[in-house]
Amino acid sequence: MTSVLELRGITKRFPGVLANDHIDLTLEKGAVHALLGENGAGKTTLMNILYGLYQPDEGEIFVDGQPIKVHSPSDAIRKGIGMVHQHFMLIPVFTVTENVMLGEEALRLGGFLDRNKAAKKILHISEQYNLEVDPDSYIKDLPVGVQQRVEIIKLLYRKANILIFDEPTAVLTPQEADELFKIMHSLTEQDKSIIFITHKLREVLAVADLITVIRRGKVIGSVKPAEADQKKLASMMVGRDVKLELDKGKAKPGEVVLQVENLLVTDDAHRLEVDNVSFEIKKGEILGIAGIQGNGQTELVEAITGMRDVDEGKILLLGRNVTHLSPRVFTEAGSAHIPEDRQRDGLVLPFPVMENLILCTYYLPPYAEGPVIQWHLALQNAEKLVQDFDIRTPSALTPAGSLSGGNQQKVIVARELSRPIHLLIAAQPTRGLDVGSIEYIHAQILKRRDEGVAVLLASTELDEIMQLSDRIAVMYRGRITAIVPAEEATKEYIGLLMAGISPEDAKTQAVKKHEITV
Amino acid sequence: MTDQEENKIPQDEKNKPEIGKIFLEEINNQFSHGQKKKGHRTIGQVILIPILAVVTGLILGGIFIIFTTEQVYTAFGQSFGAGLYTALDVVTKAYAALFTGAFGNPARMIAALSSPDQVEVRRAFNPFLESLVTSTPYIFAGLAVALGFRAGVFNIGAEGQIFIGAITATYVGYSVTGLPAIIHLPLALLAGALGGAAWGFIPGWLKAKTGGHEVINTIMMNYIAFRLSDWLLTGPMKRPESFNPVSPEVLPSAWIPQFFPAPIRFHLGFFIALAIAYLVYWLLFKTTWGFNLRTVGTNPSAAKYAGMNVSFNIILAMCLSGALAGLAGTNEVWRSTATWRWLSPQVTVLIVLPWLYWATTTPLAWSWLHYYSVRSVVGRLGCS
Repeated sequence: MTSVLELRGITKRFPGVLANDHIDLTLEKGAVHALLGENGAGKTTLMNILYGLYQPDEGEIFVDGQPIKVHSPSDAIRKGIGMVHQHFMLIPVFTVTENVMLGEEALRLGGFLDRNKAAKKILHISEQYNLEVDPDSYIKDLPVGVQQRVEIIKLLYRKANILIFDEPTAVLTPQEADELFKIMHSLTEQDKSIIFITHKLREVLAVADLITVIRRGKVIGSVKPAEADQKKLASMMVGRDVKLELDKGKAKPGEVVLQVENLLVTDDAHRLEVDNVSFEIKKGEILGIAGIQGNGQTELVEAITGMRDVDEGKILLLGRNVTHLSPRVFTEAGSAHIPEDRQRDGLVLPFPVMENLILCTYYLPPYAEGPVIQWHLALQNAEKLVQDFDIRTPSALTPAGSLSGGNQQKVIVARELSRPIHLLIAAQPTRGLDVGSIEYIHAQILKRRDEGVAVLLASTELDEIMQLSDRIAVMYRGRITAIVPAEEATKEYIGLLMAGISPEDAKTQAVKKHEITV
Repeated sequence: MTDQEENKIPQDEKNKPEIGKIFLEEINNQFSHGQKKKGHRTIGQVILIPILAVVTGLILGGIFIIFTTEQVYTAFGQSFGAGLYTALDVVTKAYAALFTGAFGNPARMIAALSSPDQVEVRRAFNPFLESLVTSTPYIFAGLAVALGFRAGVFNIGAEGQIFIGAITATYVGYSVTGLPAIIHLPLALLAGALGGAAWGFIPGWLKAKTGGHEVINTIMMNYIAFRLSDWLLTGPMKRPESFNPVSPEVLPSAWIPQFFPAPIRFHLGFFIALAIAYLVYWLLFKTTWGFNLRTVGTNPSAAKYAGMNVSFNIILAMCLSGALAGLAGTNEVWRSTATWRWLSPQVTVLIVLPWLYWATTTPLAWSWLHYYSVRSVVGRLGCS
C-alpha cells in the first residue's frame, strides 16, 4: 500500500489553546483510518486544516507525496480531498441531481443546465459504489441516511479520492450506520481512502484499518483494531483507566416518590402519544424507560415535568397531586429535570455559564433579594460548581454556547444535582457525549440514587438503560408494554419488546435466540 | 453538536478588531459584571462602529452635496482644479453649518461670554442645548426598542405608541385642572407612559395568546394610532379657537421645568431620559424581572423549562417598551409648544432606522452615543 495523504508536524494554536500539537498522520490508499478522540481533542481542527478552513501554524501536508497548501474547501476538493460534514450541506427543496451539480454544473450549449447528463453521472456513481439513491427525488423527502449518501456522491462527483467523514453516525439509526459501513467498504475496495472521525469505540473497531487516538491536540498512538479493545481505546482517549462497566450496588428502594396513574398525553398535533401509562418509582431506585425514539418517551417526560398538558390521569409526587402544575411548582416540590434537548430547553446558550447555573433558582434567596439578583453570590455559586462538577470553561462568565457538548451537559447536571432533590428525571442525559463525560454523568446519577433519590431515566440507548436501571419499562407506541426487573432483563428480550413484540412472544424468542447462540 | 469547543475557538483567534465580528458580539453581548471578561472588547472597539457609521454617513452626504450643487458643475466647466476646490469648499461649508447647528459656533460662544449681553450668551449656547432637547424623545424611543429586543419582541410599532403617549399626556395636561405642578406633571408623564403601554399591550397580548407576529400587528397599530390622532385633532381634542388640527395648550402646572430663560428650551426631560436609561439597564441586568425578560427573549423553550411565564413576559415586554415609547411621545409634546399636532410620517419613519441599529447596544451606551448621531441628522436637515 502507498500513502495518499501525509500530515507532518501539523500545529495549530488558538489563544490559550494548543489545538494541534505536531500531529503526524499517514493515510494509506484504500484504507479507513479512524481518528478517535474526545470532544475538544483537536480532531475537527485537524480536519479543518486539511480541508482548507484554517491554515496550520506549522507543519506540512503531502498528497501523493507532493507537498501541498490548501487555502479553501474548493481548493481541497480540487486536490481530491472531500469532507462529509456532520450537518449536511444540502438544499432541501432541490433534487438530488441539483444538489450534486451545484457549483459544478453540467451545461448544455447556451449555458443551460444539463440535468440529464448530471443525473446519468450520479446513477453511474451510485451503481459503482452501492450508493442507492434516486437522482430526481427532493432532499426534503429523503431520510437522513440517504441524505448522507447524497453528500458522499457530491464528493465522488467531484472526483475526491480522500473522503473525510466527520462523526457520520451521530445522526443515523443503528441500521443506517450499518449501511454506511458497507458503503465505506465498497469505497475503499475501489481505492478511495477514508478518514473516519468519531468518538464511538464500537464503530472504529468495526470499520477501521488503523486507529489513531488524539488527546488534547497530541497523537497518543496508532493501533490496529485487531490489537485493541474498547477498554484500551477508551483509556487512550481519556488518559486514564475508564470504567466501561459501572460498579453498581444493589438498589435499596424506599417509599414511593413518583406515582403516575393512567396517563394520557397528546402531542401538538393532537395525536395520542402517551396511552394509559402507569408506573411508580421508589426512593433509591432507577426506573429506565427504554424504547425507540418517538414512542412517547419525550411526551411522557414533558408531561411529568409540567412542560406539557396532561389530558387524563394523575401524577403524584410524594403523595401530592402535581398533575396540572407548572414546571416551577414541580421543581419547587424537590425534583430535577435533565431535559432531552439540552440546547433547546436546558440552556440559554448566549448567557454565561453563571446565569445558566441559576436558571431554575434565580428568583429564590440567596440569589434574589427582593427583585434584585445578587450576582456576586451567583458568581460564587458558579465558580464552586465549575470546580465540583469539573466543567471545562475558560471562566464562569463564558457563554454556555461556546462550551463543548459534554461541558454544556455538565452545566445542566451541575445545576440540577446541586439542589436537594427527591426525584431526578433524566432524559437522554448522555446523548452525543464522549466516553469521559458519559462515565461522569452516569456516576453522578448512580450517586444520587444511592443517596435516596428516585430516578426516572429515559434513554434510547439500550446500553445506557441496561447499565443504570434497577427496573426497565419498555415503551412502544405510547404504551408501557412491560416493566422488567434488571436481573431478568437481557438485551435480546428488551430489544424485542422495543420492536413491539408482546412480552410472552418476546420471552420465548429471546430464549430461543439465546439457546442458538449458546 | 459535538466538537463545539473546537469550532468556537477561532472566533477569538484574531485579536484584530473586525467590524462584522464586533457588531455581532455587540448584538450578542449580554452584560459584564463589573469585571473584564477574557477577550472582551475594549471601549475603543465598542465605539468604533458608531464612529465609522458617522464617518461613512458624512462621506456619503458629502458626495450627495457635491452632486446636487450647481456651483460645482459650473466650476468643473471652467477647470478641473476650480471644480475640485469648489466641491471641497461646498462640503466644508455644509459640514461647518452642520457642526454649528448641532454644537454651536465656538467663536460666537467665546465672544458671547465676554460680552455683557445675556440674551446673546443664551443664543450662542442654544444650539448645543437644543440638540439635547431634540435628542430626548429619541433616547426614550431607542430605549423602547432596545428593551423590546432584549426581551425578544421586535417593537417596530414605537411610532404608534409615541402618538398615543403624546395624545394621552396632552389630554391629561390640558383637561385636568386645579392640581399643583408637583402632582400634575408626574400625572401627565404617567398618562403618556400608560397610553404607550396600552398601545403595546394589544400586539403583546396577540403575540402571547395567538402567536400573531408583533411586527405585523404593531405596524397595523401604527396606522390606527395615526388615524386616531387625525380624528382627535380634528374633533374631540381640537383647540376650539383654532382652524388647524392642534390640541389645546397643556396647562402650566403640567409644564416640564426649563433650566434657562428663552430662547433656550432645555428641560428636565433630558435628565429624566438619562435616569430612565439607567433604570432600564438596572431592570434588565440586575433584577429577576430582567432575567425573566432576557431569558424569554433569548430562548423561550428554556424559559418555560425554568418555570418562567413566557406569555406574561412577552406581554410585559411589549407594555414596558410601549411605555417608553409613550414617554418619547410625551417629550415630543414638551419639545414643541406644549401642544399635540400631527407629526409628519416622513420624519418619524426616518427616526425608526437609527433606533433599530442603536437598539442593539446596551442602554446606557446607547443614550449617550445616540445623541451625537441623531444630532448630525437633525443638524443637516436644519442647514439644508
